[in-house]
Amino acid sequence: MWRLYRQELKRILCTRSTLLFLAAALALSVFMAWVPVTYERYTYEENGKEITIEGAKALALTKQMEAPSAGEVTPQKLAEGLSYYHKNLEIYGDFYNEDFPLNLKVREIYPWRPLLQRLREAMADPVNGLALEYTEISEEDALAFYDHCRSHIADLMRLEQRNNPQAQQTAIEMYEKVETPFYYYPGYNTNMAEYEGLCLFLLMFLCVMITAPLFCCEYQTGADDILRSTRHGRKRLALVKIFAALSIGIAVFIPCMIIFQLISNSLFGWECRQTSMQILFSVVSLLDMNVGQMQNLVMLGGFVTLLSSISCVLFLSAACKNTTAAIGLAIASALLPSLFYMLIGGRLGSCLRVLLPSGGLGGSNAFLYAVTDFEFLKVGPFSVWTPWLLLIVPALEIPVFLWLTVRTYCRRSL
Amino acid sequence: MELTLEHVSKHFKDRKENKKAVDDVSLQFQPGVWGLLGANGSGKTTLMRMICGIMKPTSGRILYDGVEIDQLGDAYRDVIGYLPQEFGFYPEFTVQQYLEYIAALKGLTDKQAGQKIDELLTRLSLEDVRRKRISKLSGGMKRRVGIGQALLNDPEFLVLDEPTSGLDPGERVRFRNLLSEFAHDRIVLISTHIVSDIEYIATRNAIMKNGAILQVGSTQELVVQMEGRVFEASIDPRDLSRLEEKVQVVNVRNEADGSVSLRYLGTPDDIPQARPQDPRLEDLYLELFPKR
Repeated sequence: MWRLYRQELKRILCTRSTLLFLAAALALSVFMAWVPVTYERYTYEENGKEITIEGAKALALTKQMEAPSAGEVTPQKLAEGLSYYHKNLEIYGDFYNEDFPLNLKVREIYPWRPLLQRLREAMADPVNGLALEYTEISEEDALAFYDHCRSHIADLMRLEQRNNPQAQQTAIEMYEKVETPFYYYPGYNTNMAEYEGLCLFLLMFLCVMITAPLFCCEYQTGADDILRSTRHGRKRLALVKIFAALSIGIAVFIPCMIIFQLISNSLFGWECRQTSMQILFSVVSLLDMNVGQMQNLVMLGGFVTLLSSISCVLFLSAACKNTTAAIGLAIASALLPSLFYMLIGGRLGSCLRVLLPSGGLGGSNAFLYAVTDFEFLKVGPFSVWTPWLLLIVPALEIPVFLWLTVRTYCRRSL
Repeated sequence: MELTLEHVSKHFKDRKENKKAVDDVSLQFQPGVWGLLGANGSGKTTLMRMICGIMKPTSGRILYDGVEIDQLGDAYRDVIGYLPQEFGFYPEFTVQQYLEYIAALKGLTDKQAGQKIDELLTRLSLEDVRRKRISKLSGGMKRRVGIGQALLNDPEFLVLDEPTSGLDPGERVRFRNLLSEFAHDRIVLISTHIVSDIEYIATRNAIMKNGAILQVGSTQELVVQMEGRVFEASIDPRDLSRLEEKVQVVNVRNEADGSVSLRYLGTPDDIPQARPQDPRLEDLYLELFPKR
């Protein structure tokens, strides 16, 4: 079996298209980790002229600027930041006032923005969910920040899951486990997290393209007849092809994600991994995780989705008569969850997305957004948080698709 | 060593029509070279795929030494070698890599595979191209690689579907000799529509038409029925098209004196001064699969 596996792996890796896809995956992981840094902007005023710095230098200056917010998010820190906001809003009315000096904003407004945005969110109106103006929030409110967070989750769930008290209760119970105080380390932002999801999606896409011709190209070229007339050309060959495809998927995923994480965290700062999810995304994010743990969870979601997608495409490849059809269906299977989620939407769109093997990777349907969202789906009598379903359903689908692949391949032609 | 086909049929559902690709075939193969002769679409490939266990008959049984090949499973696949008509290879593989891959599928150990590949490459005159990509080989060399893969497991039963298509005359002769050499104590089944491929090397022939076996026998046994049916006549070239309408022409040869020698199937009265000829397998083939 080991010898056959080695030979099959060699056969796949000899193919020019596979080598191209592997090289693309490697290049992609470097490129996707680097791109978010290019979005960084830092603007200040010098001799009455606005100067904008971009890229890694802007990131370093932003980190320097936000240094007062760094570390533990204490109510005192929030109150101090709010006092700057109140003082300046009293003078200039609002932040968009043309008379508001840019350098003053850089000194007294922007450094506190990541924390005070979360304070504003925690203080949202319990009836309509709209955030309050900074002038409507007092320093006493800031000092009671963590109490407001706890009451906000109950308000939010009442609004988001109006007809699902079980989901409301589950969310509150989950949030009770979130440890406080939160932490914030400037640098890492949501762009970076989104690019991690996008990188995972593209890696899955490349793996799916490598996998799609695996069985059907043998049917198309007629090589299949020779293989089937050999001792190990049936069930064992099907298993070997499956293991080879999964091995390549894993071999693409692990180094590419290591490269991605090394580059992105080195660029944005490893300390950013300690930032609480609640400060980066939503103050009532349900998971008790920091950015580092969240990155790992997104990678786990991506990994399960990748294996499930490969398994599904293996089945399609075993069932299709030619490579073109298999590649077409493989692309469709990778894109359908995003399309369903965008075009159908609602509960049906969510259910379809969850059921499809590649449901956790894509655009707005990405696992990352599910982790920062409050969507629950009914599974029988239970209300289950969508990210758990996005992990469990594809994991369950893997053996099903693999069994179907072996069965379809072995029964073909007979 | 014996392969038996008992009332083997294969039906395909072609749109709403139920098409019989192989129709109630019963045959017994014993060691020697067997020729399966038939026109394109006569069901040869379907029959061979069933014999190799790639396809299951709709009805009937295929037995190897009295045991159904389905029951034998791996043990049966251990004793067969198959070269399909469309030989799908992997363009990026070298000859050596391809043979190593198939050897692994056939369950040969690394050592066995190495020895066998060396031996076959020598026998098939492929030593010089062992590290060459298959995609860069000529049609004849690719065919030889295909034969090489079929011989890797030293099969007791070798099945070759149209093995000489794309080979030049020299390669055909070499190939025929190789098979004759190999066929000792083994069953070699060659399907073809090229009569000369099997005429001189086949111990037995089976002629297939519309999915059914029409005749079985040695070349001598089969051609005997054509005695008194094959003639040659010298004719004026201007009469050729008229005579082609009248008789089944086997061969036309232009002579140095400007006349034409015509070999045909019919009666001596069809063309004056026609001379009787010794029948050949090709004559029988044309009788069964007329060109007109």
